Parts: sequence; structure tokens; C-alpha cells
Amino acid sequence: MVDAVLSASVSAAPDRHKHSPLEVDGRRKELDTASPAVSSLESSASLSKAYNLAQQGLLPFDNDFPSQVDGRLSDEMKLLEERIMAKIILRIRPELDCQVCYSFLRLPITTSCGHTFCQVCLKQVRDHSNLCPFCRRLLSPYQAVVEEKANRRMRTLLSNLFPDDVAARDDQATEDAQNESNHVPIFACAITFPRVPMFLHIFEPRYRLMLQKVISNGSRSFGMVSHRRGPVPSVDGDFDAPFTRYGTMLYVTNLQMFPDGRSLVETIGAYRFKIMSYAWQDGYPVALVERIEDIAYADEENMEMMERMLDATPGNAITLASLSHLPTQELHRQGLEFVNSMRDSSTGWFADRILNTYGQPPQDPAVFPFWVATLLPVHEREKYLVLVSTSVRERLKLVTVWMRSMQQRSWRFQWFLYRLLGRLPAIGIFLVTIYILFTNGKDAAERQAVVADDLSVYFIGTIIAIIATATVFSRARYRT
Amino acid sequence: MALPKRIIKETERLVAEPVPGIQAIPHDDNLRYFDVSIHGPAQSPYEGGVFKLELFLPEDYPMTPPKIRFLTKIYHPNIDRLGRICLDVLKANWSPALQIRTILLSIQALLGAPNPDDPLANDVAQRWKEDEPGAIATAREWTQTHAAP
Repeated sequence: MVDAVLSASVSAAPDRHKHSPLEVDGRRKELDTASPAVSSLESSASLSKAYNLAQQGLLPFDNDFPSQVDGRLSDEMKLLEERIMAKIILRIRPELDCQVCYSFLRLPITTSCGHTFCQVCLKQVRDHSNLCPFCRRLLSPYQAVVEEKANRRMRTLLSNLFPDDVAARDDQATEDAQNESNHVPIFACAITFPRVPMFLHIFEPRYRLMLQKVISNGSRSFGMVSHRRGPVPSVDGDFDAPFTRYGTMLYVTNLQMFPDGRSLVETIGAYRFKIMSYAWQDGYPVALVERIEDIAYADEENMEMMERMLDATPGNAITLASLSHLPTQELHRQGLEFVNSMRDSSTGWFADRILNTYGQPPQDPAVFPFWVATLLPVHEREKYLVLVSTSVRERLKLVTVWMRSMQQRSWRFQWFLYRLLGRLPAIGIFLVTIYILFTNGKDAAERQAVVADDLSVYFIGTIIAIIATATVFSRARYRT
Repeated sequence: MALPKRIIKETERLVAEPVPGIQAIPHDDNLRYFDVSIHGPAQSPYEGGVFKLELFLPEDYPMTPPKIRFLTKIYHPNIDRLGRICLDVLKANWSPALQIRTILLSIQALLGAPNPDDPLANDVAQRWKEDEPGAIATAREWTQTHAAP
């Protein structure tokens, strides 16, 4: 592409010369004698000289194109060269629009097939296809395209010949970036909570683009909301989008890119937000959001006092109201106790493996409900109430209701039965193996003969028995 | 969100330098939605007809192809009863270097060169293969009935 532009620009020069044969003849003679000494290009740079050199294949590739008119030329000659230059610029300007965004090339990247696009555009193309948009030849592997540096020669050419266009394009890019930073990209996937980690596998082109943008603009954050299932939740008001109105801002803590462009992303919830308005951009929503905060401590204390005064008697049913008599601190303590008891009985939700990933139960009562909501198998509709609640006490009450109803349903007993059921096949194998091993013959003598005859059967039997036994005693522990 | 610069430029160029026989006008309330009309190419059974189409540029255009559909009834092996078009550049062979103009030209070319070997409307393609003069007559008839300017 560079060569093409260069030769296009110099080839625009000669037709002007035809109108003044005298000059051309005179210069051509001079040029022919000077041509072997390429270094003289700098000292007496002129368009026609450069053109001649290029035609003879003597113009070094690394040499800067002579864009200034030599001072020693006659006035007439100077004027002529200026006019040629203006013509060249006019002629090659349309060639310098990116064929993807239709704007002036910015940070041009030239593909191996020789086509030039904006860096951003080519990356975006590569997310959708591995073919050159222009000639459909195979592009370099994803990673190579992403890490490719802009074409230096092309950049020099652009900023020398079209400084105004380059500046305008840069301004526009900054402006676009600013607009984007006001708008938060939104990923509709699941309910997540502040201070709780979330792990994502990003493979869809539009979200790859989103991820690239938030990494390259340094914010490393995007909003996560949940898909809306069923009617609009009442807290969302008149928000009629295919996703929920409230969500959590996620911050990318770790990113592992695969060569094919997919990536594994580790994030942590930063803060909760409410979507004020949204629009679609490049296939994903972007939104103006408002951060939501918990109510003040004083209000929290007032609420606790009022509730405890009004509902002094505990109810039997497990409802929010039945918890009103409890101090906030007590709710938190009970919650922690519940988690501990679950962990001691090696319940799936709080297995060591999960605690290693999500951390120990938070001692901060404001965060504890978020942690529980992430781990407990509760309907998303319920979890959403915890997400939108701005009161620590209310959140604690919500999760306490879940935990208590789980206990009341004597779910631990059910869990035990479930574990037993899980063990049944293993127990079965165990018993059958024992049976085969020791009742293979009708009497002891025959049995011994069989065992002695076929040691391998004995070995295999033993191994199966060991595995079955191990399964029986370890299975429940790691079951989730 | 503001309309991408590319769409603005494409629209401007479509208005400033219209392609002969093709018209694409964006809706006032949705600049991604175009009313398109294509004149049937000369020496084809669709000659003399003006076909109306709708064209929509999806959110991630130009990374994904525009969505186009015939609104006028047409008898063509690669266009079905719902007006959907079987054209490679509208599907797997789309490239961001293509544009509304080139896509509409491709559709016009498709009218001039029906391809019954890659059919979308099976009955039409079958007839086209077995009785080409008859099929062409029907296409001409439909053009007169449904696509009269």
C-alpha cells in the first residue's frame, strides 16, 4: 500500500512536465548525472528528481519523500513544483480513507496482503472474521493482529502530507473515547454483587470488542446486569430493556487471552449502579449509570430501633417481619453461624473448594449478604432484591429468611438422603464385587482354586473394591 | 448513541451520487432503516419493473451485513415468498469493505443472472431448470402484475 501510494503520488507528477518540455529536458540531463549519488536528494530535493530516481529504482525505501521545494530553484520552477505537489495531495487523499470506517486512516496497519486499515478497525474486523476485508485473503493470527504496531512509514507520510487531517482525526478519536467513558459498556449475563469475584469466559465478538476497549482505555471496568426473565421487576419502574436496571460494576483483575481471541476474565464487583439511559453500540448496550449507595448509618440505626419497638414479638413463620425484633448485629452473627454449621457438615454450597475461590464469609455486615447471595442456590428474583436494597439491615434480613427456610425445610436431612442416594451405585458396586470375589465357587475348595487360577481377576476385583470403598466415604464431601 | 460516521458518509454518498436504477432513502425517524427500490435490469425478465426492498443496518454494521428483504413479490429462484434473498455476500461472504451501494448492485446483478443451482425458492428453481422459457414468462408476468412502476 505504501509503495502503491508513493508511486501513485509520483506518477501524478510527469503530466505537468509535459507542458514545459524545456525545463524537463534541462533537468533530466542534470538528474541523469546526479542519479547515482542518492545522497544529493536531500541537498537539492525536488519532485521531478525524486520521480526520476524512483523510476530508475534508485530511490531508497527509507528515504523521506521530498515534500519541501528546494530553495535554489527558479521562481517559475518553484511554482510548478508547488502546483504538482498540490495535485498529488488532492489525488491521493481519497486513497487514505480506511475502507472499514470511511474516515481518514488513524494508526494505519498494513496487512500481509498489502491492505491498510485503521488499527482499531482491523482489530474489530479480526474479531468477526480471519479474512482481509478487501481481498479476503487470510489475515495473520489474532494475537499478531492485536499486537501489530502501526505502519511507521505510512504514519510519516500521512502526517507530512496531511497534517490537518491527522490532527482532526486524532481529535475525533479523543472525543469518541470521551463519549465512551461517559457511557459504561453493559454486559448482560448474571446477577453479581460488590466485593465478590466473578469469572467470565468471553468469546462473542461484540463482547471481545467491549473487553478490548475497556482494557485499552484503562478503565478496566464494565457494568454487569442480568437478563430479564419474565415481567419487569417492580423496582425497575418503567425500565423496559431485555436486562435488569440495577447491576454491579465489575473491575477486571486478571485477564488471560487465548490466541484465537477468546479470553478468561477474573473480575471483582466494585459498586452497584442504576441505569439512567442506555443505547446500543457495536452490538452491546452502553449506558449512563448512577452509582447507588447504602443509606447512612444514622438512618440504619433509626430503622433498627423503630422495627424493634414495633415488632417486639417474634413470629413463627419465616418472614421478613418475623425477624424485625432482632438487632442487625445478631442477624449477621446468626448468618455466620449458619455458614459455619453448613461448612462443618461439608455442605456443597460452602465446601472448602468454593471458599477458596470466593473467600471466607465477610465480617462486614454490609458485604456478608452479597457473599451469601452469590453462593446460595436461590432464585435470581430473590437475589435481585438483595442487589437493589440500600439498607444493610434489610439485606441481612433477606438472606436470613433464605437460610432459615432452608433449615426449617430440614433440608439437611434431605441433603443426607440425597448423599445416600449418591452413594448407592458405589455401595452397589462394592457389594457385588465382594459377592463375586467370595462366592465365585460353590465351596471353599473350588473358590480357592478359582482365585489361584486367575490371579488377575482377584487383582481387578480388589482394585474395584478399593475404589468403591473410597468413593463411598469421600463422595459426599466434594459433591456440590 | 450517535450514528457511526461510516453510515452518515454512506448515506451522503448514496444521495449525492445515486447508482442508476437504484434508490435508497433512509427513514427520518430511523437512519439505519432504508426504503430501497431497484429497477429490473435490461434484457432480464424483470425489465421494466421497479422492486421495493427494505434494508436495515444492524448495530454492529459494518462488521455484520445489512439485513435486506424484497417487499415486492418476485418470481426468482434465489428469492423466496417472504422476500428473503439468497446471496453469499449477505451472509458468510460479507466483508466490512462492502457497502450498501455494492450490496444493492449485487442484488440487481442477481436479478439479471438467476442461479437455480443454489435455490432458496425450490419450486421456482425446479421450474427454472426444467422449463426455463416458461419460468421466464412467469417472471415477466409477475413483474408486470406486482412491480409495475
